[in-house]
Amino acid sequence: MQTLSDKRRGLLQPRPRTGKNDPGLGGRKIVRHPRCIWRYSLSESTTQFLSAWEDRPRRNLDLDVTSMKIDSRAAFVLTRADGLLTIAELCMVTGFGERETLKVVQQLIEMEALIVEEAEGERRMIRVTAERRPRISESQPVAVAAPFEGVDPADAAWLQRKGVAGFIPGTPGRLAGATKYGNFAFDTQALREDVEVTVEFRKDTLFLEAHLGKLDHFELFELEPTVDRKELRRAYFAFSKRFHPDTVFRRNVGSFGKRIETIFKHGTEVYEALVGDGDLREVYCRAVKARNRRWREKLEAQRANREEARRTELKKKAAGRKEALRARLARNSDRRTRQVQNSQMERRLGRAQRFYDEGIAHYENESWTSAFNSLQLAVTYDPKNSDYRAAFEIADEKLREVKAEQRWKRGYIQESLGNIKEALEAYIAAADAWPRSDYYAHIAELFLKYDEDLRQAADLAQKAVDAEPENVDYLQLLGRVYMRAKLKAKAVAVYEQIKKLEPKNADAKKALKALKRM
Amino acid sequence: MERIIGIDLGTTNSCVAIMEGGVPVVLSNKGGYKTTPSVVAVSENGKRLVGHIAKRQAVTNATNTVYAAKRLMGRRWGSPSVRTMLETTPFTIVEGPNQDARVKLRDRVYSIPEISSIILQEMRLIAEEYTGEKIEKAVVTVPAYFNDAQRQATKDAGRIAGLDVLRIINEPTAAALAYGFGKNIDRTIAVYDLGGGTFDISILRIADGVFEVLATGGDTFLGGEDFDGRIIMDLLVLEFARAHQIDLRRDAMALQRLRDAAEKAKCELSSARETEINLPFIISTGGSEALHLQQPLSREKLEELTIDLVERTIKICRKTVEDAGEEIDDVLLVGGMTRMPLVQQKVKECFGIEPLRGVHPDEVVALGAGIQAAALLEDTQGVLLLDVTPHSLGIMIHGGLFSVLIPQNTTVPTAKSHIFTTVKENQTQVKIIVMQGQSERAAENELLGEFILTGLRPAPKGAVEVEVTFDINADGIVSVQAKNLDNGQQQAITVTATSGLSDEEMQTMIQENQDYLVDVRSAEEVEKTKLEAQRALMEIERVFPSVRDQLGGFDFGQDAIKKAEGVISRAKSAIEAGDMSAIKSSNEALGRTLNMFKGVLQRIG
Repeated sequence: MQTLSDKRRGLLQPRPRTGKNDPGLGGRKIVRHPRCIWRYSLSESTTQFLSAWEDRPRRNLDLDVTSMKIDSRAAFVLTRADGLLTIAELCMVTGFGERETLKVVQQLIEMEALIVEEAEGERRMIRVTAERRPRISESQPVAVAAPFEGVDPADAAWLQRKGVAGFIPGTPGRLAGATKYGNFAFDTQALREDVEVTVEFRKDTLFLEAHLGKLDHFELFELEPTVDRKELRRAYFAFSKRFHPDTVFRRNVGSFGKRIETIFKHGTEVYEALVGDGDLREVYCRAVKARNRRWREKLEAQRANREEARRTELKKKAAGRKEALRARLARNSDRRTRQVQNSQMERRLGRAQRFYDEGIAHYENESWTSAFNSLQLAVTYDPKNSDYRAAFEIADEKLREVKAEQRWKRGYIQESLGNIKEALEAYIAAADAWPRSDYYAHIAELFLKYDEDLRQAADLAQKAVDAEPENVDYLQLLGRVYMRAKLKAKAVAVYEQIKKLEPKNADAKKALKALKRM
Repeated sequence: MERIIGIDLGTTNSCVAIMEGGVPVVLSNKGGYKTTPSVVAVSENGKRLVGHIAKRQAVTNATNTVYAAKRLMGRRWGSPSVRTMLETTPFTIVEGPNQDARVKLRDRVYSIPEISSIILQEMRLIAEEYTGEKIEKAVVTVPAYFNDAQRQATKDAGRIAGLDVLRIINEPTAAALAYGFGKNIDRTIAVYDLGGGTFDISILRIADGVFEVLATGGDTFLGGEDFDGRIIMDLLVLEFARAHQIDLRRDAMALQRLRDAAEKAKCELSSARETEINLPFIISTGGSEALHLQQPLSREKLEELTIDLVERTIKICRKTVEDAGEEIDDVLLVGGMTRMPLVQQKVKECFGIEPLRGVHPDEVVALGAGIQAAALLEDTQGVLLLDVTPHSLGIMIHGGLFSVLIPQNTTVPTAKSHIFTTVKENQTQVKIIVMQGQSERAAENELLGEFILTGLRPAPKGAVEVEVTFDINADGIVSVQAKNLDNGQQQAITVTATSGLSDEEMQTMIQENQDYLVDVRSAEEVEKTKLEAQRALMEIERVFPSVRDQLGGFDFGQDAIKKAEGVISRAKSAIEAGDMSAIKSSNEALGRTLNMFKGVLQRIG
């Protein structure tokens, strides 16, 4: 008899972990298969620890067991949890595998039916992670269809009378595009059994055994629906070569012997029915094709719906994204322009500062024009800065003052030279620069003296009076101008004013008298 | 590496084959023959004889020589086949405790599986001689049309012989396997197997190393023996009675001689156009007159006598071809009777094609069995047999009718379930009568057993449901399991005794056989040593005179001669006594003496 090679046997046998040999069940070591899964997807929460393998759960005696709504599995686990068995042992004692047991244990812990007592010493934590992300086919489960879905009713009725030989499930057992076994959960105990059969074959056997009632005949033989007897025969022969009990006659196959036989018997029954009955073959083929068509249509419809939904969603998302993008772009461009502006502004401010500094420097050096110019520029570049403005105004004033003085001096020189006209011009320019009242008064006198433009004189005198209303001299000057101009009323007003201010003013009195005579 | 053999257990001849380096090889027996007659006899001194020896002494020991035991295998005492055999065989057939047929040889009753086991034992010994190792596993062939009881009986025979019969396969399938092995063929073939006692026709589809039986038919009581019977009854006995008014059938010895002669004539007529059956002193009348039988026989006459038998086979062929529903590409002829020209001609007419000639009709079945044997134990053969059940399996229902559950020609292994329920109020057991056969009436079919399901809970009628699963395994043997649908538990079944051997009988038989083997083995050993001693003695006596002449003159020569004489006399007495140890020591002494003599001769001559 051929036996597995030692290497293979070594892989199948679990490696015992040192230092963790609980006496447990009659001295048997608790071992874990080196390739077994440590993480169990039990709940939808993120990674958390259920407990440790070495912890011992015990029943919560305060809780009334009869009032709890638990299924038979949970009840069984509850009876076994007596505070002496560790969780690892519990998994072994119950017959339904580690994954299931841990699920149940967690459920019970959540219900507070179990209290877990932590073990001393080294504890290996049981990690509980989130469910793995479901595959597309899982997340969108296709509705289970009734048998003979999509098949012509007459055909369906005829086939139903044939029993097993005519059965067509509503959905194809192997979904198109899905992996070879779909979402089938394999019995891991069977997969790890110590038998002389390849793992691939075990998977096939387990899958077929579970799906004997869910596969149509052509799927069982991995064949396209056909009426051709030769094709069927070839497929059946290939099937026999895999699943006839004789092929594993000499080998130790454990539980798989029965499974293989069941599968073979079913396959033979189906094959003989098809091959022996031409009508059945025809009708069956037709029906299967019809069902496949319907199935494909359904899938297409579903896919189309999904596509539609996805497309609209995408559009919405795209629109939303576009908006966001636009907003972002707008924000960015503002920022950029602002940045740009800011940088320009910075330059301007910088310049303004420089000019200001220059202006101040010039001012201190008494270069009034330069100071004025600089400060003017400073103000231009930075209109908001009050310091600059203030400084500028001061500079402006000063300059005017200085200019006015210069012009007055010129005027004076001209007057002394006898060039009255030039003098007057200079005096007027000075008055414009710096409207001092005494300037106005002087100019007005000159006008009077030399009998020039009386109107201008009047204006200027008036300005002087306006500047200093209390000043009697100015008023007198204004009065004389009006008298010479023969503006009686105005003159009277003025003299009256003088009289008010200085009642004892002889000129005023004289003038008034003269005016009364006029 | 464990060896496994394939045995063709035939009605008239048996054959054994083994795989040798990937090729099946038929093994020859001690006499050098590839086939061994299936004849068992008990001689006057109580010795069991098998094979050629048994056949040769059949004439003188007719009443204690069993031939064609296969025709009684698995049959009920009252069946027509057994009755026919009762009338025609010289050996005594008696009723067994389980309504089966048994044979009485000398003063002991043997069951049929026991007889067959003796033959199987012989084949096993042939194989063990050849390989030099112990053989414990075998594949045994049966006619395809054998029913469940007959197959069970064959398996029992194997067990008594100390063989683990891994599989019972059908003879035509084995022949097809031997034909198609190692060839890459894709054809539908018909195997026409007309042997010594049975006829089978199988239609197979061979493709990709898979041999699928499409349909099978046959007659388990139609074979060469019947052809012989025709010659004997319808010609020889008749003619002789007409001539001499004596019924030769009364005399066992005469009958046996007739049988041998008829068989010989039949075989001759396959090549010659006519022959003569000559049996002097066939019987003696009341007085001292001895009568002779002299009968010419032509091929035409033989064909006339046996045409209806051949027609029967052709009829079955036609029906089977119809059941298969496929076009036949080739026809294979298996079994000694297919050498007859009439048979070949009729087969050609029926199928419309020239039958294949590439196989040895006597050996091909054993070769196939050998191939299947190896295929079961190793994966490397790449052949797979998909055989069918030859008879419909069903139950007896109201009105004595037969309701089919698993139809004929269903590929095995197969299973079928049926739900039974009670017919009366508070019925606590249900009886299921399982039968195998083709007739619509249950009485005409073969009863396999009555299965009684007990322990049903008392309930109104129809309330309790039991699911009964009928299972036919790859050997073609039926088993029944029942499940109570109320609680899903396995239901208890009691089986009334089927025809054949009970377990205790089996055990005793197996034990006895073991003892017998041991005896046989030691007897063989004694024989061997005796032979050696005798041979040595002959040699010595041959050279003794010349040595005596040479040595006689010398003194020491005289001593030597005296010693030699002593050894010789001692050896002779030991041989007479049959004392193993004495013979062995004598052998050694004789050997030394011989060497010495040879040496002397060499030096001189």
